[in-house]
Amino acid sequence: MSEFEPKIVAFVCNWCTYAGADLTGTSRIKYSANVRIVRFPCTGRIDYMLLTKAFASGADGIIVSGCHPNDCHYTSGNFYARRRWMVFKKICDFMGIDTRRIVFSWVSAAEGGKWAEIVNSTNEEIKKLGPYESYHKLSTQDILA
Amino acid sequence: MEEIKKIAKELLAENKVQLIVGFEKGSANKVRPAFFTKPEEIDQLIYNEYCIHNIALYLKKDICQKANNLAIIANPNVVRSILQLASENQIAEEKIKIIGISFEGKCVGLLDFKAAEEFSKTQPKGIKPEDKALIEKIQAMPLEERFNYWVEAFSPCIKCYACRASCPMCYCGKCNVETNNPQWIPVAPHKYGNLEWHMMRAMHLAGRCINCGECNRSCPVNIPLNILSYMLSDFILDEFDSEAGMNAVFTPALSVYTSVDKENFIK
Repeated sequence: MSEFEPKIVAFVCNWCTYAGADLTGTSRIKYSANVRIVRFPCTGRIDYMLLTKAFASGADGIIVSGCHPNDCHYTSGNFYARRRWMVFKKICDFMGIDTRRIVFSWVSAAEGGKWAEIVNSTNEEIKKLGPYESYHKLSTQDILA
Repeated sequence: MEEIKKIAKELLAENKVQLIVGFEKGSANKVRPAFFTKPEEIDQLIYNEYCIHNIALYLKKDICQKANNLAIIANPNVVRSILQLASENQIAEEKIKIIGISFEGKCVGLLDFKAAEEFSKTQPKGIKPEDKALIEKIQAMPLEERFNYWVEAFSPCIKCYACRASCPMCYCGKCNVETNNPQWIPVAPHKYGNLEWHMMRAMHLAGRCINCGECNRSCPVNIPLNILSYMLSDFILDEFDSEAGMNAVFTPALSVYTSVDKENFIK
């Protein structure tokens, strides 16, 4: 049997992390191919429901990444997002959703190397944790069960 | 109670308000919310230990929206709801007269927003010791057990949305749960949809919930919904020093930020 390859969804902002990930590519830095990048205008736009939807649709890990504080293209989107993540992380924890599978990071457009590191380390971590079976089972169960 | 009746009667007789929201006798020993428009109707107004429902809910309904001015019989939970609604620009101070009543049932007379803020601060919080104990019990569980606890706790949910209907803060014209393009929350009441629905509700109330516990009381299958909001309120008070329902001018914790918010969880 082949090794478990996690599915990782990355929600990234257009202005920093997406450009950063682009730089990773143009710099020819090799990194794990397990990540599927979803581009958003801003981290402030990333609804927490999208994260649960990602888990429900089969993701084993999630990366949420955007501009460093004070670098936001829209001045303050990442500040609002930071607070929301704090609260979201708290409620996930309380409800038993595995927060080790959600990685938050700041990656600027100049940090191509950091993006590769984040993806690789997340990939390693999720490989150790294995597939997120409990949530997948819940979301794909028979409705009448 | 006589004092409440006297104030209410005067308000209507002197034409200071068009409508009074309070309670009247219901079937058996129960009470039900009632709307009074004439002074002579006030004889039916009652206030006793059963009048625990958060009737601030009606402030966003047609009957109250159509009235030019109104008064409401307000226990501390109602007062806090009014302050929170006011901070969200949902009710104007000149439109509403608050007949304040403490948790012990003592009438404190008419309150303007300033007095209501003071009153709200002196009254105890809504969190009961048994709710606190349950929160601690859940927090002490291992991850998988916590997840299973909530999946099981939500499994009897029939998606009647009584929690939403009874919540004064859930006044959106169109709730996310009714959005079907995309379908955020599955319609059928299965375990997965229930989990997402309750998580979404708790997140939408984060920093705005005044902890009246009405969602819990209205739940026909007794899901301990309120402790989700209690837990978040506690966290938000600790983390951001922000508490809903205490001030008429207030921005909920998730609508503001500071440059020094914690980010030790961000890589």
